[in-house]
Amino acid sequence: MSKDNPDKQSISPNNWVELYSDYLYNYAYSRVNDEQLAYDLIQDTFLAALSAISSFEGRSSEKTWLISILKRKIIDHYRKSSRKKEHNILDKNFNDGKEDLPFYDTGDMQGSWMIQRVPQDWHLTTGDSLENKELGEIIRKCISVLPEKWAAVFTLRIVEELSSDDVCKELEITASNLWVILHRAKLRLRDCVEKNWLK
Amino acid sequence: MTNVKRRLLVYMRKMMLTCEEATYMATKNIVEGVNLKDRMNLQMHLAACKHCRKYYYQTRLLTNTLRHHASKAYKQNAISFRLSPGEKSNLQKLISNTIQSP
Repeated sequence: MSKDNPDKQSISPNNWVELYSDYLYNYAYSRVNDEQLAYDLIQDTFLAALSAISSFEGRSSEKTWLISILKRKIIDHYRKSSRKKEHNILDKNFNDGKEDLPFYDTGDMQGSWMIQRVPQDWHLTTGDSLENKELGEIIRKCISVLPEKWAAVFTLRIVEELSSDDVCKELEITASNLWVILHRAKLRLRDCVEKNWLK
Repeated sequence: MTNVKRRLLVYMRKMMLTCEEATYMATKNIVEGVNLKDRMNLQMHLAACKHCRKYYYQTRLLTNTLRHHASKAYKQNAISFRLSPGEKSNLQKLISNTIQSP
């Protein structure tokens, strides 16, 4: 295939696994928090790339091209997962999220932290730096128990760092919806990490 | 608490962001920044409220840790998660078979 056109010589699928698979897997796993799903996404990415080899124009590197395909697969995964349970999210979890807030919702103290739910000291040591894998794993577990739509918004905006506009477009939500979801997701995530990591 | 003190407290709370509003603003500020007025209100709240201060630093740590592991840098030492040899050989077979089939 690639021999027909000298411009496309730089594609060599037989080297993809050796050169890029760990990188692609790391990229996928850190964004979907599930080993099997991450593997499936890599497999889909390779298959999609093989079937689109003729569209590879050699303007970007092989690696950049593969990542752009994987990125699309990750966004599509979240589009599907957030839509699948949209009904439930709106009816249940979304409103439950409101009731679940750690702030008083009436009285003089309205909007202040409930005394039994204030953030605790984490007593971070040097071993608890960014590199801390155990902390990373706990955060990932906590993301995976968020309502699917929250996890989708959170991951695409905070981890993948898509722009707010792009996240709103992809997931078909409004900007104010995006910030409400991010706020609730972060509150719950912090709470979940505190319960699972420190106690 | 005397009535006057109580009313003063309620009045001050009305002037300032609530913790609920401050944590919302904190998220927005960490993710993409907020305008000057919101930033000043947030700073004022954080200066007075140790709970929200903790919240701010803790959620910032969570965000940075996630981003660190999700690094986009293509360096061997930036890779935190790897495939097993079995998974790699399966992918290699998949690619070989797909290339060979017509």
